[in-house]
Amino acid sequence: MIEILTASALATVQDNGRHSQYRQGVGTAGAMDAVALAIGNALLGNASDAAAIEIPVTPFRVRFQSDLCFALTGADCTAELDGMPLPADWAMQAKAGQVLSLGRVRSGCRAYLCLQGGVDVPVVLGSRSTQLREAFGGHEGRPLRNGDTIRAGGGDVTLPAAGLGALLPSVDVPAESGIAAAIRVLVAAEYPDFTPSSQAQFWGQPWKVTAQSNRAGYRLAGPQLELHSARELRSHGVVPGVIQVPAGGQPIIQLSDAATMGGYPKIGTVIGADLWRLAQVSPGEAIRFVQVDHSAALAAEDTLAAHIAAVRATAALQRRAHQRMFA
Amino acid sequence: MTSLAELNRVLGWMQAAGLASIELRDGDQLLRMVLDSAPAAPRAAQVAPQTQIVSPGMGRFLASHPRNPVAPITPGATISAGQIIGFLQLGNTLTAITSDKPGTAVQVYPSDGDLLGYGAPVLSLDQGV
Amino acid sequence: MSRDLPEPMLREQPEQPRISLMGTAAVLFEAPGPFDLPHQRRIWALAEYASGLPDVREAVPGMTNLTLLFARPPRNIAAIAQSLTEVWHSGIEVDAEGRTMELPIVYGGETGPHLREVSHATGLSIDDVVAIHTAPVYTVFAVGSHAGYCYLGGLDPRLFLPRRAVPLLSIPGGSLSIAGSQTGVSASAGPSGWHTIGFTDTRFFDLGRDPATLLQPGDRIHFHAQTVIR
Repeated sequence: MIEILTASALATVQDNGRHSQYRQGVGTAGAMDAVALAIGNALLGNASDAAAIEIPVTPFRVRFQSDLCFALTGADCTAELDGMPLPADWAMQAKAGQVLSLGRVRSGCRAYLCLQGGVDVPVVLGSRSTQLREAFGGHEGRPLRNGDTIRAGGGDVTLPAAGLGALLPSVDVPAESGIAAAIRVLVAAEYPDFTPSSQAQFWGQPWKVTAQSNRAGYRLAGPQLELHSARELRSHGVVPGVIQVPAGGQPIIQLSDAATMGGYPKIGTVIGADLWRLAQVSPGEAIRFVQVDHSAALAAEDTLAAHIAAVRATAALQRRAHQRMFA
Repeated sequence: MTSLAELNRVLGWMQAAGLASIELRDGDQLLRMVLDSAPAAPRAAQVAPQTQIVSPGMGRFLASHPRNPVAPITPGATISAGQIIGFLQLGNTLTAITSDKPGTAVQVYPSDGDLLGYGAPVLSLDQGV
Repeated sequence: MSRDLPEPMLREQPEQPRISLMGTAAVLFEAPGPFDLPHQRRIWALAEYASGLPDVREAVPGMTNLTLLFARPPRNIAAIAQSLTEVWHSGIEVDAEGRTMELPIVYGGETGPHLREVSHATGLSIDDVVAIHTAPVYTVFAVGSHAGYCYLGGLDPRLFLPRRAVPLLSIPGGSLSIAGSQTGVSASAGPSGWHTIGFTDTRFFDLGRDPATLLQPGDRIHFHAQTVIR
């Protein structure tokens, strides 16, 4: 069990998302950085669908009310456990009474606090993710507040005394000064409807993530994108990653809390393997889009899945080895 | 401290990691294992004037966490108890090498990227106040 | 970059469905032809068929279109596209039997802020806009966008208007809106690119119900004007 001492805005319980509810108009929600969630769960030996606390803003402080293993992944928040600095992407055992505090963000945009056995909140419509719009799921359907207590699923976990960490996946995209991330995109149905110069600008120009960005979507600022002719599309199901361009010409990347249907032209879709990287880009930073084809997008997902599986397997080995040494 | 089975296992790790020799200290006992040359004569147990922080396991030594590069520890640096002095990478996971005692750094043995075996010296520490 | 149609899409031909990818785990099927109930009944049939395809988690009807959501990215898009096209061309349709619901609406005022704009843009008086909007019995074509939201077919073409150029960040639940050839009532507060002309306090999504959504594709709604604020 943990007690929230200082809750910054919009910290919510999220798991891998709510599936099979689209026909009711309920979107996936879920962790914006699914890789951070997966790594945190892997370090602790949690089930891969275990829930965690997504923390988009610091400061954030919790007190452990019992001995509990935890993992803190995602943004590097100069975290400290009772004043002792923690490395990024790190799992530790906390003792009852210890305080974990997240401070200045060194890199990234949102952190994930995973608990031993997962965050224990009721499953609603198949998931523990918070559905903010309709205020259900997660912890009472709302962001966390000071004084909230969060239960952990528990179970048996042994970590090395100094903790256990993981490496992030490396990504085969160019790094560029002034660009927080190069994001790979698969073109979508209305891509050919954009003028050639708009297409060139989409790939060639940097895009700033504006302050009007949140879990529902990232609104971008940059060149005004134009179509050959305006096409009024019929409402259709869309998924996180879809990049819509309303008549104002500024793209909006649909994300975890986006509407399940849209009707604006779609220029492309951020590939599934890059959504976690996008989630760690902060408002004010710039991104660039890189075109990939279908097989490259599939290959990127396979590579990502392999990395997470390897972390899970090696972390299990490390925990077992440590357990044996001190059995 | 060590059984024959454990020694054999360490030998296997040494071969896999390409290590030619390894020294294991346990209190005032020293065990040195050397591959492929004539066995060294056992040395008398020594009481080290300094504390040695040794590798807690197998892996690749990293002087910093990949997400937070810091200046490497140099001789004369102050080390606090519990301080992380490096990381050990195994596959895609990391464990921390910590100094259990405070002191002044005398020497850091491995370079960034070196393969370490269990018990390989990492940092010697002068505990004199 | 290729100047041909991008690789994951079939070449667009008149009278052929348009099939495209949204990332690697979602396929969008857009039916040719008009936006009307017979075409939507064929989409419902296609949804039933597609739900049974390997790895399809959900087949989500839109407005004469269908989005397939996959649990695992499918490798052979061409085969999926071909089977969807064949089923579409068979003309099979579902006539979902639904109920008809009467819905009282407060048109205009603070909760229908765009009624006057719609009146100006269409050249119709406010009373005519309300009369035209309350005349038909609308069919629920699809549920989506947010929990419980029903996309309705049957809007009179005299009320067709483009979506707003810049979506509004929030309109309250119960808002009745129109855009393009569609109309609908929001079930909770949220962003919208449509023109909001009225309000109801009927709840379209309630977790205490099973299913939580009030209406399903095939159900029908008739609006009547409880009040008109000009």
